[in-house]
Amino acid sequence: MTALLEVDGLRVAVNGGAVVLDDLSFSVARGETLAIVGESGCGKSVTSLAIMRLLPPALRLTGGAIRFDGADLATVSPTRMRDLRGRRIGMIFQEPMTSLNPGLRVGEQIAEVLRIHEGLSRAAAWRRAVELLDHVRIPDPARRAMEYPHRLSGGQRQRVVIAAAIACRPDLIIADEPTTALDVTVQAQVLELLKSLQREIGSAVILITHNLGVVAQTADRVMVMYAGRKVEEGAVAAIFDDPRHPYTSGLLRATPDPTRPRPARGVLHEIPGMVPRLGARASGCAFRPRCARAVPRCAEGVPPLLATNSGLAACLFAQEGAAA
Amino acid sequence: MTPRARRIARFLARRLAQGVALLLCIAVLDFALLHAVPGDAADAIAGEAGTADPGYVATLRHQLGLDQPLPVQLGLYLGRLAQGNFGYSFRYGQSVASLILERLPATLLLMAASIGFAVAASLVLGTLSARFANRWPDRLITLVTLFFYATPLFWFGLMAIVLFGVHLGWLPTGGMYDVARPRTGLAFALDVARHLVLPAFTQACFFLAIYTRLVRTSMLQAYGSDYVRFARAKGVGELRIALRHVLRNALTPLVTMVGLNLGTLLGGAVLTETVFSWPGIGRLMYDAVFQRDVNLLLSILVLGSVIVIVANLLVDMLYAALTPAVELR
Amino acid sequence: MIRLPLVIGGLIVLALVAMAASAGWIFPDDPMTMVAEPLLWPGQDPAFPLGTDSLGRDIAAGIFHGARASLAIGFISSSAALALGTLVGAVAGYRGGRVDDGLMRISELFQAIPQFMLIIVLLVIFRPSVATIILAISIVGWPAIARLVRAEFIVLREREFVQSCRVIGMSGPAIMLTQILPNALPVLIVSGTIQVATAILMEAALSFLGLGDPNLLTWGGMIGMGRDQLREAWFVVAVPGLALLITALGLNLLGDGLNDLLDPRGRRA
Repeated sequence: MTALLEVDGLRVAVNGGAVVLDDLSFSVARGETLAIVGESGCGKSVTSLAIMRLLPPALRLTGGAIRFDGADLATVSPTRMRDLRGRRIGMIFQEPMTSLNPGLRVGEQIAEVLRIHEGLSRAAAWRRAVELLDHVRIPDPARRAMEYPHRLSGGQRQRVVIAAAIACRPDLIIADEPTTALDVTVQAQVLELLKSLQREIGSAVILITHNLGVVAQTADRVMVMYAGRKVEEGAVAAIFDDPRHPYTSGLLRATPDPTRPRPARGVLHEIPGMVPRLGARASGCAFRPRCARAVPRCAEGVPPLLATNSGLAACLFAQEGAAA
Repeated sequence: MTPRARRIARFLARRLAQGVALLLCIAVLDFALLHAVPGDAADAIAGEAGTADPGYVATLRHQLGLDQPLPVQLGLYLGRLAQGNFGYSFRYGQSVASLILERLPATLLLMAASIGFAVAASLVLGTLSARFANRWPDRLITLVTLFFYATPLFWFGLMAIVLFGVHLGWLPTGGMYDVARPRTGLAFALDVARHLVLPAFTQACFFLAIYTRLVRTSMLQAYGSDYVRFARAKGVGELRIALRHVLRNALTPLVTMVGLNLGTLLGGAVLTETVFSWPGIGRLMYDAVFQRDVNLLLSILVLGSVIVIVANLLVDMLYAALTPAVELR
Repeated sequence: MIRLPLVIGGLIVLALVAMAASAGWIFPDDPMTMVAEPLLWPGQDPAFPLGTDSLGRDIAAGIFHGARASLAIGFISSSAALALGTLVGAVAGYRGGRVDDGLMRISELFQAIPQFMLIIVLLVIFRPSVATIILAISIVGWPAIARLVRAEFIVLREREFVQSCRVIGMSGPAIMLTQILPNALPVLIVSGTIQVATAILMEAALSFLGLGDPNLLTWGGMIGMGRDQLREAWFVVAVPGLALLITALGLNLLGDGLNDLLDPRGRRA
């Protein structure tokens, strides 16, 4: 499979200050689902916003390339980028409650994408919007399209957001914590919807989440991030079976997993300490202060990504068998 | 009727009922104030007519129902008001109602021009301010609005007369039109427009300051919102984002604020019209102060309230058009 | 962090208070009497740095004595509006129900009546004097404060510390006075400061229209008098107007500064 998206050495920094993303590289193949996981503050959302070129004003892309189907998103013109957004790359945000404009009918907010990118007439775009609402399984779509977001539940709103994101059948869908703000029962439905739409359209998906259960259900590959860097990457099953970075194994042990009883005596562990604040990251391996295996050598430079049985891991002990 | 139309209709009906109730309260208040004046209407009318003949006064008193018990008088008073009968002004030789109605267009023109200017300018300045938040254009605009907010409007008007009228000679400094010119056609409209510039600007300054700060805040909020980020992620262009997504949501608080300020605006008209000899009801009020014509003053007060209430209904309709029906209360 | 608005505003207000306090011994003579040739331009005669008006009165003396009138009327009417507004707003916000409905109706009434017109009518009927002016300004000023206090009390009455006071059997008035009011104080201080500016501008506008206390020299009155010579001697109008502008600016800066100081979490955004 050819890579659809290839991120190479991406760097993002606070204007003239702390580094947020440091030398981040990964790729996504057509049709595949890559999950990006990590605690909040690890740089997952910044990664997605950088790909979309929607970084908040305080952040700046300072290096690297984002190759998407031949073009480098880091350098394309704003006009070109705008044309790609919504048409070839769709994005779904975490907060369905605030992602929709409270002053516009939901139908219009979907139709907008079609009018911009496919040049549909007002009426045609509206018809397509209603079809899309039906497609994301919203009952009585013709009537719902007329409603303002306030009248819809959280799950329904997220379906509207998804409908807008897939309206132009994009090659890539970036979903930033798409189910986190939803009720548990709704989460599964929305995730299922996303999966079936992906199969149908054949899009690649970047799924950003901190929920490893979601990763196990949906993703092909997983990339673990810590403090703005990739610390481990590989096929989901392999990584879950044999994590080589202590952070990954910490995350796994902190996750209850009904489908796969772990041998850890059924006890949930939490990782001691917290994600370091920006600018307060430790030298060498950033995870060092929270790591049980840390040795003085860990402070000497950032550990390189080493090839393991399950993929890549940025730990000095990655090739020495399962992380503790 | 769609549910939305029904909701809007219900909202406007409720506002209309509230307006009528308010008007009733104001009329009662007026009645009370009228009775607080030493002497009654009969004395006043007799005084104005230049006679103190007790017989005439007694007849007048009977005619006006002033010998009736107070509640009956209140009823009569409200009845007269409802018919648009505000009494007769001997000094002007016409009914108070026609006197005020004659002056009304000038005041409405001044109000509309100053609101229009304040809103338009505040949208521009507020947007600039938000766009350059905490950089020098923002600081400059903030400073200017601070001055506008603190400047006494009548003094600002006088200084504008000195600068633009006397020293630069760019604009007329008083009146609504040039009496020496024909009062027809485009030339007349342009003449009125020239006369309108200084009073409208003077009247608008204070509100311009308030609105600019409001627009700045709501623009900042809207531009930082998730829905604008989502719109960008959909590939929506900046112009469309500004017009469809941001402006619309920033306009709602502005519209509300304009509605709240109408009374203050009309009160300010007394000063502006006095300073610029603008022939509206504000100027009429100033003249009535000099003549201690309490009936005329109270009539202007009632009609001023009517203007505010009616204008507020218009604002409510605009608000209803801008807001999703769910939020209408 | 330097709180520039607070400092500038505070200094302006302090200077005003100093002017008002020293008016009596810097300019011991009645500022209403003629002391020199009329319409002397500022700087023309060093004895009268701000010039004289059409009646030959010293404008500088007028500014100092006018500061007294402005500040006194501003502070007293604002205090009255603040007291009444706080009382009504507190009861309405804490009790809710009918009292609250009543208050909201009254404040709507005051919003519909052009307030400045109402003041004019009141003063024509009851004759302008310091007392009636103060009364009229506070009558239109209190509803806005009452609304503000009400909103604050509605939020605060649901807080845990208030609930627990209720549980231990504290009486309503005691809770309002000792528990909620101190927490609502920042809002009161800020809106009170800005209300002073509003009241001063309002009094000036009234004096300008000839509805000031005839026995009192005020900045607004000076502007009203100078209007007749606006074309020849605009400084007679400009000087007291600048005094008003600086005063209102100072009070507003002070209010803004106090707001930032007392509300560090920036609830106002």
